[in-house]
Order: sequence, then C-alpha cells, then structure tokens
Amino acid sequence: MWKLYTDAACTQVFGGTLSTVHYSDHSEGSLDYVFYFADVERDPADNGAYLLKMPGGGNYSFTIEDATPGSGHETTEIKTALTSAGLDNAVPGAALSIGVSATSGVTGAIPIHVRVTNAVTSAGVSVELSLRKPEGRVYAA
Amino acid sequence: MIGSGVIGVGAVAGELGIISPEADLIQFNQNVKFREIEPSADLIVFEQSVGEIEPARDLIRFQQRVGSVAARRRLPQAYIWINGVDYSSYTALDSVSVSFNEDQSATASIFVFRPLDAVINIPSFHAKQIRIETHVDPNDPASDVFPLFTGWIETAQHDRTRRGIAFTCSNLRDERLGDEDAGQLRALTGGVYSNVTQVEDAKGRDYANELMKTVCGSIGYDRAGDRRFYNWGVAGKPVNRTLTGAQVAYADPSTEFQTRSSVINRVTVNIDYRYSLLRSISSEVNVYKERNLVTGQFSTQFGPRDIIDYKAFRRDLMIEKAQSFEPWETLSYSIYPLEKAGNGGFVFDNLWPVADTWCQGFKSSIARRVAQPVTESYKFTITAPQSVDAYGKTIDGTELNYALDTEYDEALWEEEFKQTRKRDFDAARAVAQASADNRRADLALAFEAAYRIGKKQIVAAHRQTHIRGSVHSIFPVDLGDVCEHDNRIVDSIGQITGFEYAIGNGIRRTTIRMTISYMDTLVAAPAENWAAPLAPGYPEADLVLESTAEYNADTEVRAFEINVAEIPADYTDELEPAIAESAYTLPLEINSITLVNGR
Repeated sequence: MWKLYTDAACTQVFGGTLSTVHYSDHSEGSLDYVFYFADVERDPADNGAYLLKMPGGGNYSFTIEDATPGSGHETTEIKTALTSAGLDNAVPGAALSIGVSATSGVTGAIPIHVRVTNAVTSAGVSVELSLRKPEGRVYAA
Repeated sequence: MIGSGVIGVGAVAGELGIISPEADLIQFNQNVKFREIEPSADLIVFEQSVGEIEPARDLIRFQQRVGSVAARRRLPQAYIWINGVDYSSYTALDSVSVSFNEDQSATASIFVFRPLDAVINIPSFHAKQIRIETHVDPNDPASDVFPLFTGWIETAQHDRTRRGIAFTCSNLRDERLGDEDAGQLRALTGGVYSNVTQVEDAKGRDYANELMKTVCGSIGYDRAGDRRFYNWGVAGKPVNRTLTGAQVAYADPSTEFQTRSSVINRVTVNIDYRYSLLRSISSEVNVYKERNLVTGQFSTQFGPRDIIDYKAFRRDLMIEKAQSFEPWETLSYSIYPLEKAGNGGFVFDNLWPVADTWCQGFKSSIARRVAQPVTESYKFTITAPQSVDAYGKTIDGTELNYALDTEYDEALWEEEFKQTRKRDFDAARAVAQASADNRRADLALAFEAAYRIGKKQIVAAHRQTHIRGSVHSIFPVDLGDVCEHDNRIVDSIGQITGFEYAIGNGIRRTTIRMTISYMDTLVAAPAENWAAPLAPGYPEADLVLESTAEYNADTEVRAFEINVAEIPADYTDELEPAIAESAYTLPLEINSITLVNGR
C-alpha cells in the first residue's frame, strides 16, 4: 500500500496524525513538513515493479478534506507541493497532483511538502482537516 | 495373367494354363498440386493488465492545537478516538494497554468515564472503530503523534463502581485477512496454496491461514491498521531499535530459551500421485483350416486311404466372427478364401461353384485398451544439519502425507475410445493420456507447498528463544522489526515478535519480546538445495499378446477353438513404480547471544 514516510529512505512510516501547535496570535508562522509517498512493501527490491494510477486515467491527486467546512479550521490553512519552493506559490487548500502515476519502491518515492498556516484564534485542539489520497489502481509496470 | 482357360474355373498349380501377354493394367494419372504450407501464428496476443485496488484513505490527519503563547496545557497521555469522536478527555489514562503478538489479533483495553446521570448506551459502542495515539514526547505537543492501536471495540462493559465503560478492543486480524484479495496475499507473501497439501478450497481467513503455512513469515496489521507482512529472520535487515543498558528497565531483560522437546530438525514428506496409464494391447487371431485336412487313415484293399475333413465355413459367419472379439476392437481382418476340395488330382467340390460364400477362415488384427492405475510415490526429507549437530541427533517431526488422484474415468479409454476411428492414433492417444494424467501441475505445486510447510515447521521450531525487555517510554515499534539488545545483560540481535504498551499513573512503558534462532553448533549453514522431485516417466504402454485358434477335427466338433489373449494382471492391476526419494538440506539462521550475569 502506498503510504507516507517521514524519511527519504522510506524506513519510517508516518503515523497518520500531524500534530501542530499554533498560537492565537499566529506568532508561530507557517509550519513546513515533508513526507515521502511510496510503496516499499509491495516492491522491497526497489524494482519499480508497480504503478499507481487513477482508475479512469488522468492525474492522481491528493485533496485537502475538511470534516466541518465553514467552521473551525479551513482547508485554506493547508498548502501542498512537490517541492519546498513550490509551497510559496501553491494555492491554499488546492489539490496536489503527482502526475499520471506513482512508481513503487524507494526510488519512486515522491516528496510531499506540506505547509500548515493556522487561521484560528480561539484556543482548542482540532482534528478536522486531512490530506486524502483517492482510490487508485495498481498495475504491473 | 495366368488362368485355366475355362470360365469360372481357376488354375491349379502344376496344371496347364494360358499365358496372357504383358500389358498395363492401370495407367496412373497422378496430378500433384503444389500445397503451400500456411504456418501457425498468433493472430492476437492479449496483454491483460489487472489492476489491484488501492483504497482511498487519509494520508495526514491534521491535529491542530491553538493556544495562547503563555498557556501551557497538559497533554493527554493518549488520544482515544472512537468512531471518529475524541474521547481522550473521558479516558482513564491510568489504564491504557495495548498488546501485539505475532500471528495473533492485537488487543487493547481502555476505560472511559461517563458523566453522572448520563445514559449509558452500550450497544452504541459495539464494533465501533477505535484508534489510540500518543505523542512521542508526552510533554511536547509538537512532537510526533503515532498510533498505538487501530481496531474495533470487542466488548463494552459498564462498570457501575467506576462510573464508566471498560472497553476491550481487537484489530480483528483473522477476519480482515479473510477479506484480503487472495492474489494480493500470494504476491505479497510469496506463499503457495495447493488443494493437496492444504485445506481444500479454502476461502477467506482459512485461505490466509493455509497460505501462511508455506511462508516463513508472518502477516497481520500494524498499529495504524495497515496490512503488514515480514519474513522471519534478521539477516540482511537493518536494526530498527537498539536497547542499551540505560534504556532497559532495571529488572530486565529476561531470557527464555527454547525447550528441548520443541525441537525438530527433520520432516519427512510422502506424496502419492495416482494416474492412469493408457495401455494399448494388440494381438492377432489367425483362424484357418486347410480344406483337405487329413485327419487319419483307413485301410482298403488298395492300401491305406486318408480320412479327409473337407469342411469349409460360411463366409458371412466368419466375417461376423472376425469382428466379434469384445471387448477387443477389431482393427482389420482378412478372409482365407475357399480352397478346392480334392484328392489325388480329382476335383469333387460341390461348394466350388459358390466359392464366394465359403471360406477357410480369417485373420483378425485386434486391439484392446486398458487404463492401468499407476501410483507414483515420492518421499523426501528436509533436514537441518546445524540442528542435528547441535542436538546430537536427528529429531523427526510429524510426517506429512498427501495424495492426489486424477480420478480418470477408465471407460473413456477402455470403451469409448475407438482406434479405428482415429486418423492419427498416436496423437489421439497422447491427448487421452494427457487427460488421464492431468494433475501434474497440481503435483508440482504440492511438492513445493509440502516442502515449504516442512521448512516452516523446522524454522519455527528453532525460533523459540525469547528475550523480553521493558523500556520506560512509549515509542513506535512493529512486529517483525529487528531489535538489538546491547546492554549489561544481553547482547543479541533478533526480531520483535510481541510488544505491549502500558500507560498508567506515572507509567509509560513499552515491553518488547524479541525472538532469536539460536543453537550451539559450529556446522556451517548448508545451501538450500530444493528442487522438485523428478517423475519416473511412463512405463512402456504398448504390448503385443498372442492369441491362438485351433481347429478341432473331432467329428463331433469340427470347429475352431479360439483363445483370445488374456491380459496379465501386471498390466491391469495397480502399478507402483519404485518410490522416488530425495533429501534436502535446510540452512537455519543462527543469532548469537551473549548473556552476562550482570547486576
């Protein structure tokens, strides 16, 4: 299964929850993170043996989802890009396309840069935003 | 042409005849047309790409904590999410425990307080998904959050005294494995499934269990709920976690070496394969009586005279008989024509004018087919020489016995197959033989599956030494991770086969059970020399037998006694070729361990 890893060598699987700490005065600024999207379980020998694609073709894109749109945190607090530099010009809350396919193995790992910029001023802990991958199809390369 | 010169009367050897001049009897007009060979070729090659479904899922859940700069919040020891609802603040954080063990469902238990006078709706919690997470650093809200457990509520029990609900949870490993795609499991694990060596037509979780019997590895679900497979052993794998002296608890670690009685180092596999050898047995029935058969003599005044049996046979009856040797099939026959009756140069034959209706016998070429059951027996042993040396003897495990049968309907060959209707008998027989021996592929799969089952039993029997240690912190580990003990008590590298998380009052503890394969031997690991046993090949299937036909001239009988060949039992009863025996050696991983009687 394609997952996020926290290291480029894809040895540390990301736990799934990204905990960020913000201040009501937004003094922390934007928080940047990088993950690696890969499937090393299916291709441990790093042969690039499999391709992940959309079922009907087209680009495979991640989307920002909001469990409670219109209240609390909004998807525009999240930016995603394939490069660190790309974060600056990324559209807040926009989907991130990784192209028509992803290739299995460590070599095929795709860096996913994430920037979290809080816009909420009231104190609280919230888990309502998520970065979601769509259902895909895995084919032999 | 030689003839007697008299119409309707044939020439007799030694008598005068008319010599006819040489002439062409037939002019062959042979029109040979060029036949162009149209070679066979693939018209369409189908390249079929089958896609596995990669499910949609959340890659990142953003847990955003907003507070004032000066505020310092106490972090929960663990986050509890039940069916997407945050129960962290209701959870008794002195009683969170999580347990993972190899090849078992992971379990967790928590206690959730409920407000006084609140309605307790126990069924509403049943089977709901639960996720337990925690920070790597419980004092740093920005530290990584990682899952401890993802599963479903197994039981929810109201505790009136504590005023809350005690939950036990499971990750439903077996059930979920049963829902996995069989092809994906095979591809992921490299396992094989054979209806011969494993439970027949296994489906769902049974299939997963049967498949894993052939894999030296384990499969389950990790803390995040994702499927996880790993091969047993540590060779060639990086160390994921090192437990130094400062990390392991004071009273730890402890070691538990495997028991002697659990060791096996040889497994014997017996596989019987039964098919039908399609034999073709041929014979010839030669039924002939000479027309002027001298059967004796009698004395006369002119001297002795022969007693002659002039009997001839109705041609139509002979033709019928020539084709009537059921269950033998008559392939061809010929009729011995009527011979002229006579004695001393005199012809006195009242049959001769109708010679076409009489004959002296026939010769039939007959064939019969027998589908002879053949049972090939294969026996192979899998032995771990390192273990034999370490324990001083060969210790046999339970023999693995399997059998498979083609269940061929013998009537197809013996009765329904007709040789005379086949333009190319050899090709037709080859097709029939393939049908009567159509489980060779299953046999090959059974060989491999049986070998792998035996191999896993031996490897598992040596993977029973455990080192248990506790660390006073919570950190992410997974089953199958390679762990190194490098502390004051133990120095060894093994594989994590169990771990527990415990969060209580002032307690954050991870207990790890590491397993090693250890034995005391200097014997070098042998090469694994598995290769499927070779089939002995078909015995000679064609057979020619002798049939006899004798004319009984007894005046009371004057008939043929025909004895069609009897097929010897060797060609009909079950045939058992010599057992094909093979021996394979299995290398075992040896993980060294140094124990120090430390303080």
